[in-house]
Amino acid sequence: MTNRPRKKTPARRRSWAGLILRLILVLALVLTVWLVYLDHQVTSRFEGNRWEVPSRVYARALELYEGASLSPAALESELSALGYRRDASLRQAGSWHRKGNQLRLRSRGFHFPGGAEPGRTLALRFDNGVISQMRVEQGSAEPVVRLEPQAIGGIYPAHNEDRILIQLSQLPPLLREAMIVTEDRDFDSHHGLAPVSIARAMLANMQAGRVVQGGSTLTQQLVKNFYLTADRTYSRKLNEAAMALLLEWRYPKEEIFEAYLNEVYLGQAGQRAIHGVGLASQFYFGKPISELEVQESALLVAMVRGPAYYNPRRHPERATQRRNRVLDLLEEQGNLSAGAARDARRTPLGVIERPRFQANPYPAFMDLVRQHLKRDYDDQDLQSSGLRIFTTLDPGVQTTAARRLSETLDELSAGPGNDTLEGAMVISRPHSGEVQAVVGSRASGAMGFNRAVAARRPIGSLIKPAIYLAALEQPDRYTLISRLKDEPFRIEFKNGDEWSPRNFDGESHGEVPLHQALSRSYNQATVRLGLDVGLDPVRDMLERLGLERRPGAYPALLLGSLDLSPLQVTEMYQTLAASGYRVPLRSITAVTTAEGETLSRYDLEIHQVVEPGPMHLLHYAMQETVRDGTGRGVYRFLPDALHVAGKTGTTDGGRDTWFAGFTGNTLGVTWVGTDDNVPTLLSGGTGALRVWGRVMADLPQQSLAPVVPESVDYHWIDSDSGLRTAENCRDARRIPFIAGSAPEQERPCGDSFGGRVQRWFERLF
Amino acid sequence: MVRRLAGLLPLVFLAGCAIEPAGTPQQREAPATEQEPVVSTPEQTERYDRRSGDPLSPAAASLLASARGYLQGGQPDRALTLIQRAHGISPNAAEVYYHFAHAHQARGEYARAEQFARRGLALAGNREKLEQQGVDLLAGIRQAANNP
Repeated sequence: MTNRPRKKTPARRRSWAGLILRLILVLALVLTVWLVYLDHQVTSRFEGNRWEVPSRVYARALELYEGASLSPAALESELSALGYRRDASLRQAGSWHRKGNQLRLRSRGFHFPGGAEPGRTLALRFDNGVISQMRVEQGSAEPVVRLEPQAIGGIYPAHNEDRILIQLSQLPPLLREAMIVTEDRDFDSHHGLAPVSIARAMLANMQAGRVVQGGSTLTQQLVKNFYLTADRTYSRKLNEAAMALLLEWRYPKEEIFEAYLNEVYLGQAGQRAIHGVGLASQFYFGKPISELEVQESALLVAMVRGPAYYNPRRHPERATQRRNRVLDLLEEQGNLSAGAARDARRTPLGVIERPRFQANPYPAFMDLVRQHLKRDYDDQDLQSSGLRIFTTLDPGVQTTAARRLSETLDELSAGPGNDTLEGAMVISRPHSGEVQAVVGSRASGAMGFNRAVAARRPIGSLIKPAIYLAALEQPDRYTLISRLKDEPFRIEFKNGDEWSPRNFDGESHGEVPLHQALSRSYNQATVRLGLDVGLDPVRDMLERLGLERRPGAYPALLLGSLDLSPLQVTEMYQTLAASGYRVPLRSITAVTTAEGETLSRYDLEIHQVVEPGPMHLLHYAMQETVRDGTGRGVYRFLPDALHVAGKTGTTDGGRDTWFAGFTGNTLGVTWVGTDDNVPTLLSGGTGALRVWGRVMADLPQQSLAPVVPESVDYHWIDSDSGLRTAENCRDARRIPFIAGSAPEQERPCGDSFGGRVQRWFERLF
Repeated sequence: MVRRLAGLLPLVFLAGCAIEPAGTPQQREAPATEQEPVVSTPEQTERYDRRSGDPLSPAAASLLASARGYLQGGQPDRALTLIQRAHGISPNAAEVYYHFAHAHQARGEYARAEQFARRGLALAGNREKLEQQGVDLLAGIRQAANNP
């Protein structure tokens, strides 16, 4: 190569230009690739499922209709739990007003699995614990109306974010304006970035000497929180700016604004982060976003800048100041009149004390729900798809049960040796198997060991109804008056062991009629009966009643040497309460998607497993248990006129005390004992029964009123001889028999009284 | 299909019988303040002869009427939701169980339908008209089950 002086020739200029051109092309390529990449980020997340939304769990919906058993106090309690406000004008949905025995309310609508329940204004009148009159003042007139169900919990994703997604149509007045005027004045006109805002902010910050204003648009804020990490590097800022522009290019303003409102971080509930105005509205005000008043909206907007710094519960003065600043801005803009602004500024914050949105007020019941859900759903779906789970929980019943159990155990603990008493209870509706309440421990709220579901304890005499029922299925061998021998005996096993069952009171009672052997829970008579009937028929009966695993064939089974949880016991007693129909217990009735599409439904199922005749006879004997037998204590808590069937159970030393009983509309199974299996000084009748009685006395009850089946006839029987007799004889009692099994012989009465003497069994039926 | 629709015909009769004058069971027993009756009242004697379940409450009757609409419109699932609500209100009324039976029959679930029909029949007890409905219903279900 020869040395030539450099000269700017056109060729050289062209090669410089070429170089620059190539450089530009490369840069353009890099930029394009980068932008395409960012664009893909933006769209893929924005168009997919934007958020992992926890599944929400709901209690049963309260049904309102004329004739419903409901006291005004109970309704008030429900309305309070739903976040309804007292307001005589009923201006907004979610308000109510009571005057004496009249109550008016304005309900919110709700999307139930079967269809939408619209909001309505109702006027109710109560008399004697019943809705005597219901009028629909506004809204579609229906004879039966549902309130929205209480949200009782959720199933949260691992990252512990929680949201209630909202749509723009749900926004209350001026929330949008407040947010925009405070956080991004030019939102409606810019394209993602607002250079003017940035300049303004820089100026303000320079003047103040520190950061007092941000220049970020709402779009930028959304990008930052939604897509990016929190580090504050230049490259992140650059990405953020580019993505904001892309977002605005791709999607309409309204969609971006809605996403922003659902993303914005607004506080902390312990471990749970509160994102989005929907949840924040519940968290701070206990009501849905659509019901917020202007100063409440202003408070939410005020907190965007710093939910901890402006926490209305911790720093009410700061929060009020900032809220009022937002109101000022609204007034300046002309969105609020001076008068309205002034009134709003004067209004107190209005934040509810404890977030109604408590994580888990009913942990024992939720435990049951989760177990059920696990069978059909995987954790991922539950935690992130925003499913809606409709359960059978009755919060009023649950609260009552938990409270009364706790109180009663405290009382019982005052006695010697009872310090570590624990208890559990399950309450269900007899005809539908809907579980209304699950109490897993004495301490409420704490999610410790859920004894109702997980503690298997020997059930003792609770097993007896199964034995007697098996016997009564053979009317040619057994009737309610069959004489049983309540006398000592001994069983010798092949391995040389011996077993000699004793009665609870240590005594034997000779020959006793079958109904009395059950109502007084005589062990010796029962074991004899059980062996006579045969262990296999007894085991069959247990399975038919709902016991999942067939128990072994051992004589001690007849005295309840079988470990079950209160829930499993409830499953069996459910069949007794449903007159011989197996009605599987349900804690969930339906699961829907967030949009309301039904994914699963759990409908009522019934299956007859015992004939009505023997069942009716057993009901008779179980009612005698509470009138005259080991369950007598029930009537210390309940009115005489209420008919109840029940069974006590006690194990050795009172280590376990049980009571299972049902009325016409409620089945309750209670266990009281100690976790360490230490003897208490209690029995089924003094321990578990007391809890049961206290709880049931607080719930609206209907008398047990069994239908007398075609196959059953009542006859007057002379107690002594067991023969038929006439109605007004002194020792006569009216006893049901399977047709054809009643004694044929008669015995005239000893007395000739025509008068009617009050006899418990006369009032029995 | 035709048979299933034919199975719906008894619904028409049910509609007529659905509403009976009622003392709803909820009102029979008031809470704890009742005095004990000293002498047997007719109501007490009646219990020995309680040969049928409860009358259908008007609230439940209205839900069943809506359910029938869905059944006739070929939407047994939606009908079931309403029938279950009716059941919550009147769990001892034969008519409710009959409606369950119809809904399950419409879904081709004959075994279930039969269980509900039988329960309804037991509650119909000695009320002739209601009893006859139950008998017919059961017969219809069994027939449909045998000729699917």
